[in-house]
Amino acid sequence: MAIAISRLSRRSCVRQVLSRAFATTPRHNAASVFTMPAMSPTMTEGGITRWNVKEGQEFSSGDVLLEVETDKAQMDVEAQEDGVMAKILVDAGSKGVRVGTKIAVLAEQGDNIATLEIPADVPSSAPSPSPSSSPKTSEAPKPAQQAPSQQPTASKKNPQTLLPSVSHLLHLHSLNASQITGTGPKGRLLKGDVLAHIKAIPASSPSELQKRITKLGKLDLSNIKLRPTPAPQAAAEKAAPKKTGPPPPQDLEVTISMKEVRKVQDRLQQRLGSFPPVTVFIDKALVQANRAVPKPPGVDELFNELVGAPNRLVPANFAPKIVPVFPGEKKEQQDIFDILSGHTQTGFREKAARGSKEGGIMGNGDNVFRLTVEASDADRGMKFLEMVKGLLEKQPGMLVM
Amino acid sequence: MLKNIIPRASSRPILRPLTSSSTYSPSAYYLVPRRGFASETQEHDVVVIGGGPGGYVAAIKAAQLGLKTACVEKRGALGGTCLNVGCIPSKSLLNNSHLYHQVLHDTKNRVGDVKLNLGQMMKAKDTSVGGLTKGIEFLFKKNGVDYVKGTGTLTGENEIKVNPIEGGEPQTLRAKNIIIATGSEATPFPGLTIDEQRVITSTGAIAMQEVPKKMVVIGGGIIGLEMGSVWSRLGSEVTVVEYLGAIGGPGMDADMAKLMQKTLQKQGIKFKLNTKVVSGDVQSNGVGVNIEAAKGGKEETLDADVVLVAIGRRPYTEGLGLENLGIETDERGRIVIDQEYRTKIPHIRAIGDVTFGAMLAHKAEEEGIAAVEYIKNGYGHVNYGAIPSVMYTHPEAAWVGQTEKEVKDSGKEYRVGTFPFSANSRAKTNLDSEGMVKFIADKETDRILGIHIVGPNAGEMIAEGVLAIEYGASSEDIGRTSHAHPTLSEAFKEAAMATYSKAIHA
Repeated sequence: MAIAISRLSRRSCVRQVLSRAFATTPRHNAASVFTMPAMSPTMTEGGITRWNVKEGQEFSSGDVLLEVETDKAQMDVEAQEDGVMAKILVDAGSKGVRVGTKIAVLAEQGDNIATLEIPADVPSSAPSPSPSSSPKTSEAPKPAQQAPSQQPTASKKNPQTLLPSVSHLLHLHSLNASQITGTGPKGRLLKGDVLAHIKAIPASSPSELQKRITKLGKLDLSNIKLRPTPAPQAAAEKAAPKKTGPPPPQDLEVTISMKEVRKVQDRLQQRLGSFPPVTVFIDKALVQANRAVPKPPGVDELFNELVGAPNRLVPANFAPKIVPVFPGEKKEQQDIFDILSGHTQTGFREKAARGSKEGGIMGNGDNVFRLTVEASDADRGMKFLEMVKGLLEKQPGMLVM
Repeated sequence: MLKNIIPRASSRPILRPLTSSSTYSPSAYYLVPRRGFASETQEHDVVVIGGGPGGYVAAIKAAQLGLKTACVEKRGALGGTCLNVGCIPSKSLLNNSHLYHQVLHDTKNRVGDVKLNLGQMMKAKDTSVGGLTKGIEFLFKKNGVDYVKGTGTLTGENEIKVNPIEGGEPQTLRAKNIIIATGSEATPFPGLTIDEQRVITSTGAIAMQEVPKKMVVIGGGIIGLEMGSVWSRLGSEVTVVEYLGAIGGPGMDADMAKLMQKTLQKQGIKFKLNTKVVSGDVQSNGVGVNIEAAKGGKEETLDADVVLVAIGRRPYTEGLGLENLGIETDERGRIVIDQEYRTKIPHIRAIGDVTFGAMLAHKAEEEGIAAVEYIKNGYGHVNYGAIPSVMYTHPEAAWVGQTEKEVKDSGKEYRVGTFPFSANSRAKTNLDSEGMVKFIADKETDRILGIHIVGPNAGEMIAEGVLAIEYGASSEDIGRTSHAHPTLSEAFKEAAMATYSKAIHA
């Protein structure tokens, strides 16, 4: 009787998919942990009678990995996927192994077992966790890939991909890379090093050439002829360094008459019997004007433009402060305290109440639209205010039509 | 700061539902003044002066390494000379004029007639430049580099005064580290005033409104030959006057310079080598250029509608205020630095054209990154032995490492291997087989010392050579590496094979 262990396969499947989809770094050899399977819903522990695959041995989906015995029966455990047995953690013959206990480490076919990353939480039965103590492959007849240390041409001390000329010469002369010292950039073994080793060229040639090339690799700063410089004035200028911050925000003002608006209001009153408040006109004018002076492009807009995607312009969000102008009254002075505290003008409401039943807006006269903007926005701000003025003074009728 | 604490007035008061009554609260129209108390100058970790290929790359890299960075640029567009008036616009013109020239001459029997639209050609150039400069601005925003538009002047060891180009109050930036990357400008020719109309530099040469009938190029270096090529292809009668005995500048291998000259002559460019320009005479209808043999001899006058001055470039430090801090320059105006790009004041560094080494955009980029890495990590590196040079004429010329003469002068024995593109199947079928690949390798160790290419796409092909030199490869290493067939790169492999052994197809 064979029971498939779907749990194992599902997990490794998920891991594989995830790592393929999201990893942008090169895939590392990663092992998966194989735990004691529950062969029946009631099984809590069992014994391992036999491992059918040895460490380092490859197996295919459907192969029997091990035999498990419970108090009721003995069962085969099949592999759901192809893989390699990287390490057996619980030896055959063990009894009373609890379900969920890590019993083996599996790897994918083609993974290099010698350099495999064993999941950190696996207690290593080997004396030390260094890579050299990873499972010996001597038992295994044919690991998927030979460890680098077993390749005859690679250096143990300084593992590197050999240049084709070097690899060729090493084979030709039955040499091992570890016997030769590299003189190339960052200790790389070069053709010249092998040639010097087999005494085809003088022993010192490669290192002498490297010395010369290293020198050429530096910026030549020899023989600099200085231009006579005037005496430094830094000391004198340092005495009074003037600090200047970013340019201060600017106040923009435009006086707009509401006479035209009142005329339209009156006309509407006569014809339709409704009297839309002046604020409706102002709101609509502001929306239109804000649309006319879109925000300067930000990162997203720049990117859209670069890739040729359609760009939606973002309307500005200027919100002017409106101050009624009373006939014969001087323009109010701004209090420095208000500016500093960001407080709105005192007494504003009183004046507003006097001004008009519309609350703070001179319904039939002049109003000052005041805008405080960053210096860089001054141009757009002014354009905006002029737009509002044009809309309210020239054709206010269009705003409510 | 206050402005951050006080909630700002609704950004779109107009969307607020209006109450049905006629009473209207004006509060929605209040805008809390966007004024904080912040007039203090904030300190940056790095301020880069100059937004060219050296400066902008340094600024982006610094920001990526987590340093608070600002870049000061006065041109009004990023990218420096290279992007605005150098490498990029000239490549646009070179490509389009090549297409035109090719259809006009090489393929006229196969394709048909073609007419030049210079206005559109210039527009295509401006579009490319505009897109690319905006691209850098985007990268600045993306990486959080503060872009300060203005002229930067060093006023203290940690202080830069910036005069905004759009007018307004000067601003002072404080910086823990300063990188000077102000680049270079065309060296003027004594006796000829540059007006960019009759007497032009490369800047004027990429913006001419009509094709001049006759053009004299003073200087047979890379800039002169590239711009001479453009206008020659578009119909100008171009004469290049070079003081030295070879074109291409001092870095070009002598064999390659000769080959290049022969090829360009075939295309219709005239050369006057070993010749010096004595004086120029600018008239309303043209310029008279008086020349004589470099060693002295009979004077001669060349008539031209336009004279291009391309005798080299010099460091640009005007208005930078080096004198305020006593930062030294050498007799050619280059800022004096050490191997870590430090000036006399260690936290002020200089990179790119404004200091020593080849005036190349990619060299400046490498230095920009290395300088930032020195600031952040205390170590950076540029391998000056593996920096390629490319001339974008047709065919292109490209090289890396030493010339044959340099190797010969060093006294080392060497081997040379060459392979002509006329023996390369792809070049042959493309009907574009001028040029060759030349390898110079150490005789004993076979290590590659220099690679020189004249040929189609040489500028792309040289990348493989740079990599080989960076890794200390031998010619055999290239020869034993597979190159796709049929490609131009096979010529590269065959030249390598010819160096240590024999080429197959030659």
